[in-house]
Parts: sequence; structure tokens; C-alpha cells
Amino acid sequence: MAPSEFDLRAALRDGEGEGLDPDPLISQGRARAAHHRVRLLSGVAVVAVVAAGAVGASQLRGSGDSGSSSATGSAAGGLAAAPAHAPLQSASTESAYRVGGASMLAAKAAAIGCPPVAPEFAPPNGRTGRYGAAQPFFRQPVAAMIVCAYGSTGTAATAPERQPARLELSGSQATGLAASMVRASSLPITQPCPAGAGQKFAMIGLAGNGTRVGTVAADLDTRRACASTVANATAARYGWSPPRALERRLLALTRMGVPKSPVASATG
Amino acid sequence: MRDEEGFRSFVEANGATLLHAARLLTGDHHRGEDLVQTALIKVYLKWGRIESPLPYARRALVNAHIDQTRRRWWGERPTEILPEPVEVEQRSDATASESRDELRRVLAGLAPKERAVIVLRYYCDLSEQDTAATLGVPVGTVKSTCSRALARLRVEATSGAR
Repeated sequence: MAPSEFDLRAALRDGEGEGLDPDPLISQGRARAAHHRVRLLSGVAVVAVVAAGAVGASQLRGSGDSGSSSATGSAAGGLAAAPAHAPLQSASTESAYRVGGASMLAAKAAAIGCPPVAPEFAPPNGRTGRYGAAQPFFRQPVAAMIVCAYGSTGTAATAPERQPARLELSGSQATGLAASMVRASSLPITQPCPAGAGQKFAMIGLAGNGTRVGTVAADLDTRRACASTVANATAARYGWSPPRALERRLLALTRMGVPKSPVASATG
Repeated sequence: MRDEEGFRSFVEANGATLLHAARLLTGDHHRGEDLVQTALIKVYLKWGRIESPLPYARRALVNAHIDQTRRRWWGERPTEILPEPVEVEQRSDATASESRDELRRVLAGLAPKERAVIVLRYYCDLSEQDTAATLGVPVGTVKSTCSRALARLRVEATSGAR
């Protein structure tokens, strides 16, 4: 007996139910929007330079004419025209930089790609003693943070065209995350701490001008805080807990990687 | 300032159905994830300027899928010779899940636009008019494409236009 439309509907519905996490979509959307803004501003700057060049060329043509009243008139007209155009150039250039700040930082963050695998840092004295207890993780104060998620195995890419999921933080979220790392214990946890399925992250700190100021390898296990660590070449901390508001978002990133985008594929 | 909370709520409410629709369109788990991500990023970029986000998201999904099939060759070839009616018709003891698997397998072999019409009509439960609006084609095209696709799926069409 041929299947009915009811059977078809049932067949199509079979397997549905897995939801979507909005956070990676918002991160990717922000990166795409920042990329568009940079391209738009670059285009505006190019147009302004071309317009200024055209005005300059007309000025030169006007001042090269000899003595007739019409030439004088056109020279005067050319000179009179220049100030009217100059503000356009300066306004465009000014707007290109005035819009900067947060947009430029976001654009620079979007251009930094995640490492293909989770970084590993081994303190030189192993897990004993205090390593970098008085050292910061980042060379300068952090204004933005790129969080790259690798799951429990440390490799998110299951195919060449996929990359780790990422979250871009700025402002108080970035500074709060950086502060949580420093607050954690600089002494290794001595009580028995069973190994769990920690989720691995790379956290790339950016200063206010978009310069990279450090990368930290984080291992987050929400069931056993004792097993969560953060470390890089200058410091290590144990029993780390991220800010509560961020913890859910960090763990939601640990799904399989996402497709490579043109912006994120650039290495910083 | 983009209303990200509004977008977040939209994804939480509709993400599951959009993801499943994307997987049905592409016939592949991972390509479906990529497709729905492409569509929802377009929705995000236009958020605040879209009157009806769900129809817009469906349109973005279908258009992105059809664009991808134009650019890449998946190896699917819509055949003029209808496939042999195997388990679904001849085995009276076929289990329901085997029938569903067979339908899904044949669905994956349809042409991209035929598959899009079936997914929009029978998974998203859109009317012929709404399906036509989503695809940007006349209602008559939807009817003929649907009829052709149902014939390939060997499904008995029991309902008229919604």
C-alpha cells in the first residue's frame, strides 16, 4: 500500500527536536557585521580620497590658466570650490576614525582566528609549587577576549572545513573573565580530585587597541571545580570558576565546530 | 542597537524546526547545520528590519540551499525513470520506521526545488500560497512541482490546496 500524506509528514518529523544555541550565531553575526562596517568605512575613505584628488586636480587646472577674466573667474571658482569640498573630505576621514574604538576592536577581534587545536601549557615545575603566583596572565589590561571551544578532546575540527566554535567578549564580560582567572588558587589542589571530562578552551586577550596580549589554555569541569585550571607560559591557576553568567555560554560552545568564515580564517 | 535578546528568543523558539528543515533539505546532518547557520546569520544581520522573522528565515534557508546546489554538485541526479517501488509497496510487513527511512531516502534523491516544496508543504505545513511566496514562484509551479515530487515518493495525495 502506498504511503499516505500522513506517513510522509511522520517521516519528515522523524528525528526532529535538537535545538540551536543562539550564542555562536550572535558571535558570528557580530563578526560579520563588524567586517561589513570595516569594508564600508574603507570604501568611504577611498571615495573621499578620490574626491579630494579630483578637487586638487581641478584647482591645478584653474590656477594654470593665464590672465583672462574668464580664466580668473574659473580659477576663483576652482579656489572657491575647494573649501566646499575640503570639509567633506575631513568629515569623511573624521567619521572613519570616530566610528572606530569599539567597532575597530570588534573588527580586529573578528580577524583573529582560533588555533586549530587547544593549546597546552605545562608549568616548568609541573603541578607542584606555585607557578606565576604573582604574574598576570595578560601583558596588558584586557578589553576584549576571544574564547575558542574545543570540547573534551582538545580538537573541535572533525573536517578541514570546520573550525572551533568561538565567543567574542568585550567590556565587563572580558575583564570579568580575566579577573576570574587571576582570583583562582595559585596552589595546586592537593585533595583527591578525580579526573573528569573537562571542556578545553583557548582564551585570547586583546588590549583596547586590538593588540593580542596573551593566550590562556583553560580546562573547565563544572562538576569538579577542583579539576578546572587555567595556564599559560607565565602563570597557572587551579580550581578556576568563570563568572556564573558566562559559564553556561562557555559550555554551550562545546558542540562540534562551525564552518570557516572568511573573517575568522585570518590568523592574527 | 540590535535587539539581541529578541533574536535569541527567536532562535530558542524556532531553532529546532529550522535545523530539522535544513537537514531535510540537504539530506545531511552537518550540511544542515551549516545551512541553518548561514540562514540565521542573515536573519541576525537584518534583525529589527524584518516584519516576519520566521517566513524570512525559511526563505533564507531555501534560497541558501538552492544557491549551494547550483554552486556545488552533490552527485544527486533527478531521474526521469521512477525508482522501483520496493519495500514500501511490496512488503506488507514493512515496519513503520522502515517506511519512514525509505521515504527519507527517496526524498534525498529529489531535485532541490522538489525537495524544498515537500519540506515546506509537509514539514513546515505551509499552504500552497505561502510555499509559493517562500520560493518566489507562482502557485501553479508549486502545485506541479509538488505533484511530481509526490509521484516520485509514491505518496498518495489525499488533500487539495490548503
